[in-house]
Amino acid sequence: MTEIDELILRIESEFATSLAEVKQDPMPAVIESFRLRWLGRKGLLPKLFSDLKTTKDRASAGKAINLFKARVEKELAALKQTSIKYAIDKSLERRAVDVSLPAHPDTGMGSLHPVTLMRQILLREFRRLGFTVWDGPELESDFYNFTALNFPDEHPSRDMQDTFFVKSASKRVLRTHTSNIQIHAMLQDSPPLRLVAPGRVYRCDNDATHSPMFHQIECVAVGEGVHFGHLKGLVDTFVKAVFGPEIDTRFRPSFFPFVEPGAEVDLICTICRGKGCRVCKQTGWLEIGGCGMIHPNVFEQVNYDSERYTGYAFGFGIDRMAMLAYGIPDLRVMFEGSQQFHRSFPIYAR
Amino acid sequence: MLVSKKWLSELLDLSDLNDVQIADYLTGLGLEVEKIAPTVEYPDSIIVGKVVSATPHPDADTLTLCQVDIGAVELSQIVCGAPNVRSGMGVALATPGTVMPNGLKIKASKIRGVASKGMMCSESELQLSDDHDGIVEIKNIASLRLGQPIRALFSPPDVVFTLGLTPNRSDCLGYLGVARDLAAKLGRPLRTKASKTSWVLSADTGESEAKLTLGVEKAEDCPRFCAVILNNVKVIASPYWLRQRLESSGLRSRNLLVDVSNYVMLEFGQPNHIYDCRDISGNKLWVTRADENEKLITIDGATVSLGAEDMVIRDAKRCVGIAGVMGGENSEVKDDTTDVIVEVAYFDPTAVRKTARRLGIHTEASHRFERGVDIQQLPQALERICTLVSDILKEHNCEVKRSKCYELYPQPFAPCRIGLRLERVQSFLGLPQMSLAKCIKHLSGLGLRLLDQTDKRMLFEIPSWRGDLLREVDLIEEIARLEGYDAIPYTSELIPVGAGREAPQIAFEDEIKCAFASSGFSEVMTYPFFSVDSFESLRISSDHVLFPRVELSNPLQESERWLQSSLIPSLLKTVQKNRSHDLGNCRVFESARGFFSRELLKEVGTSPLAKAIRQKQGSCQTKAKKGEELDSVEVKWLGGVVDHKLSTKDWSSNEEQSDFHAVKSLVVATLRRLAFSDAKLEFVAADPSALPFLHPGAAAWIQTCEEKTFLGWLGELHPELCHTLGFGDKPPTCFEFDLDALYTWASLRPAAVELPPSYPFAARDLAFTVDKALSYAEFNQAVLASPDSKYLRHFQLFDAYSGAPLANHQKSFAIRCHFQSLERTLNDREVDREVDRLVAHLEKAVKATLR
Repeated sequence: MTEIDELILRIESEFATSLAEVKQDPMPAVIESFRLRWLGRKGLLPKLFSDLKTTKDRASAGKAINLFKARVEKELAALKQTSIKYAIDKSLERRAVDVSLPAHPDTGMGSLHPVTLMRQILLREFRRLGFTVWDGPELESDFYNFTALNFPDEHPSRDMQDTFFVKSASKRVLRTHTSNIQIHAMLQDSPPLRLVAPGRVYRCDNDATHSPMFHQIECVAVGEGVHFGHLKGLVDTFVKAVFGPEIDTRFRPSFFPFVEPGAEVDLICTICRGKGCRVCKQTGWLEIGGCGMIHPNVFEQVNYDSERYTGYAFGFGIDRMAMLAYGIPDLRVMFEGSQQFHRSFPIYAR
Repeated sequence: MLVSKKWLSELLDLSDLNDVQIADYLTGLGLEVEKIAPTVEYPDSIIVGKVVSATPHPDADTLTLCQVDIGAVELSQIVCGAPNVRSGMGVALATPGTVMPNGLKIKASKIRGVASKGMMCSESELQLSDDHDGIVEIKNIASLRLGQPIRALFSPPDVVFTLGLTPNRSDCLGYLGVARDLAAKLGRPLRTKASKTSWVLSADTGESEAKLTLGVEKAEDCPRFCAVILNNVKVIASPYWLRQRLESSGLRSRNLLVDVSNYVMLEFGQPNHIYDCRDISGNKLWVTRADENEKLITIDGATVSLGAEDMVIRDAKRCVGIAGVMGGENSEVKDDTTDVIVEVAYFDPTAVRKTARRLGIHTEASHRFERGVDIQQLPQALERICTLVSDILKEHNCEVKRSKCYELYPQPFAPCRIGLRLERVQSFLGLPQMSLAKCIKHLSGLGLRLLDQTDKRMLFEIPSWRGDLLREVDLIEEIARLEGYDAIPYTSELIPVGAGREAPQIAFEDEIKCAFASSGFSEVMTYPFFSVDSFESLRISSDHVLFPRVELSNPLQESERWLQSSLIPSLLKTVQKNRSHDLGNCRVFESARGFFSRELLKEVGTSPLAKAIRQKQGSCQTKAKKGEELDSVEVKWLGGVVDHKLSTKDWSSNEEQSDFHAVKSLVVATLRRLAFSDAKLEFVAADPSALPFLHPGAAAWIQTCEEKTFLGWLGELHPELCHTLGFGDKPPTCFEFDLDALYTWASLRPAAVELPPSYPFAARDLAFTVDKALSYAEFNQAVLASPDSKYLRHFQLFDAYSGAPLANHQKSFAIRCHFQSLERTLNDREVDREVDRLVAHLEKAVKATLR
């Protein structure tokens, strides 16, 4: 037996041991280190070839080593094949998460205010019907908030709305309704027009059902031949769009200086569907806002021809509608900012 | 206004209608019924009992000792004083613990040494009548279950409707007005009441010779003023029916004269006043204005300090009442009064309103005068008072004598006439089938007089009690009211209009809200009312632009009289509240307005914020109508606060940061969703005094890159505030943006978008040592300005470091640079040359050395 033969025998047995070890856990990483050990640049086989340079019988030794190398490569190829399947099996066997662990509670949690959600629903509906959205100031002059809307100076009708007055030379108020936007819009645009104006309004009143700050949406249409039936039709359409086709409306006479005839609108209680419950105080009806045909005195304030044009206007509480739609029992909770409350709302209007 | 069904039924036949039907009719007329309530509600503890034995009380002749079966195991022993009690009788027994309708509490007690467990009730005690001579007998006692509440057996004596009247319907502040409306709706006649005496007030003669002089200083204050003197009256208690009427309508009974005065006010809606003749000197009453600081004690005992504008009634010497508001104590009816002056007037609504408001006194009288009473009805009301007083006193053998009727009425009422076109009614209401006959029927029912008609037009005379009917459209409403709004069909067609012009900022507000909500922010809405303290506690002093300057004259709470200038105070309060509920990691935002006053804007410095608001003031003023002085500006803010995450109680350890850079990244990422990448933001260190509530080392202005337009600010809360507000050592970071400015920034369209390149890039990581004072913005600018960097396409900071082994005055910025040509693949030599040029440039420009 030559020196080389001995060497080959020894290395072959070493290879066999090493191979057996690898086969125990043929993960790709294990195989890679096995490859590097034998075939890598500083591996055992290249070392064997370099040792060869000093041997006498270089030709036969080289042949033997090459044969051995071929065997290593063949085993390695086979190992790699096994490895892929082994790794897949291993993953299938090892990875089993508890899918019921809770989602991380704060990840990406955000929400819109219920009033914003309801506002978006309303605007979506009114834009679909061809109404243009308007905006206007909250700190308003007496003219836009009262006088132009047919609230005469020193008239008891001004007591209907508990007004916040601002200390200023020019008699300003925090607007008590979004109806001020009617005047802004009509002074800017000529008829026919259709507009809707949502916004914050203020009244100095604070109890379980009144908040000093709340939200209204004003809707106005002016043209030739507009009548009370159109008003009823529009209110009914949007109420049904927001609350469902089975929610009917009812109109009864009331008084707002800027409309004549004026009406109060009730809708079938969305909680009990008209049977009578605590929310509707057993009446089966819920009051949601005021409306009417625009008073000719208002048209005259904005230089519209009140003989030629007629129009309707209504103003509804967005907060109240949000409370009904989302089952919020208390008005005040909407303005307290509790994250527990707000996190239950989504980002998109439903 | 409270309306008794019994009283109303006397004016109009309502016998076929139940309470709910009556209420529905009233509500349908616009006289909204807010509540229906019986005058008395019997408690469940008044029960049906049967007297099984009645024996004389051992110790008192007038008392009876009764054993009463109330369906219980034991009989109840009751001591009773009623003469009509007898064995076998059905009774209403108030058991111990009962609170009677008059407020009396029934207790188990001993009467003359004998135990008594309750009280058998009389009609008076059940408020069925004023009969208290005997106890109520319940008939058919054999068929009733003993011990059951009597509630089901006795219908309450009366039902009261609470009407929520709108200010236009002054005519319905009296029973006659309500009855008139209801009669028109139901098509039924009004019942007029016959009085026992047939007095007619006469301007010429009277039964007594008593003299009176009336006067009105300013004719417009009191267009009609009437009075009568009644002699030989007696101040007695009112009869039961009168007391009941007043009580069911919400007024307390006092004595006959005061009660009649109130009764007629309720019946006619006409307030009036009765003076004791002894206290009126000079037999003179005149309407005038008070002297400045004149004092009057009113009948409720309060001392009122009058002003020169206040309308009052005087006799020859002194002030005896505030006209239309309240009488004076000095001339009120007393127990021994025998001669009175009864005054009925029409006072000017505005004058009464101003006086009442200035003095802060709101009374039943002022409420009616402010809304306008029926000027034509004054004599009837006066006659009714005189008649009632004399009728009632006659039953007490007292003959009242009256004077002639004194009156001042220089300008008699001229009724208003209104024309009505049938076509207008039809087209206004959407009721094409409405007929002329029906219009006339409805309006005549309300007391309007048809003066003239053709087949298409009508002319009506408006009755004096309907001062609210002023033009055609008012008559159209009356027709709609009586026809019923339900009769008008729903019409779903829309009128044709052109395409509207919606301001794009309106949709932008919703978009930006969505963007912030998507970044994990919860939208909140808060009240804008604050005290000066709450701003001062945020280190905002009176010379700062954010110091509140718009003041309410009538705040809800005395301290919260200022309107917010910024949303930060309320947002911090919200975060604080949530922290106290252990809800950390609170991210909130709000979109609302800040209010600024013009006058003080000049003096608030030159910070970017102050400049931006001054500029808004300028542009608002140019948009305002000519002649309109704008003394305030509204700014639409979007403000937010990110609070630190509290103790991690989550199963994952997902620490979220709230420091300056974490929130800056969050906010920039959020805003980037709204704009193209060309729209860049710049953060500039803020002067510590400009945003005094922020940490001076972690506060920035945010502006646009090109124009340097102010967009907002962002920073960590000042450590001192963290301490005082209870945030400890974990500061929340706050920010606020000007929505209009953001909109302009976000609407920028890119000149051209970047296309994907065809050739690969070569990346090189370069770390530079720079002076600590150099900001990244300056470094960034220097890299961008590198003149020879032909192929530097893009670079990004991947490390900012200070500390060992760098010297104390040094720090390091490490950037990854992408070199790329649009024409070919660059080779290593070219890239190396680029790097060398960049390094050389940065060394020269900002003294940066490659590490």
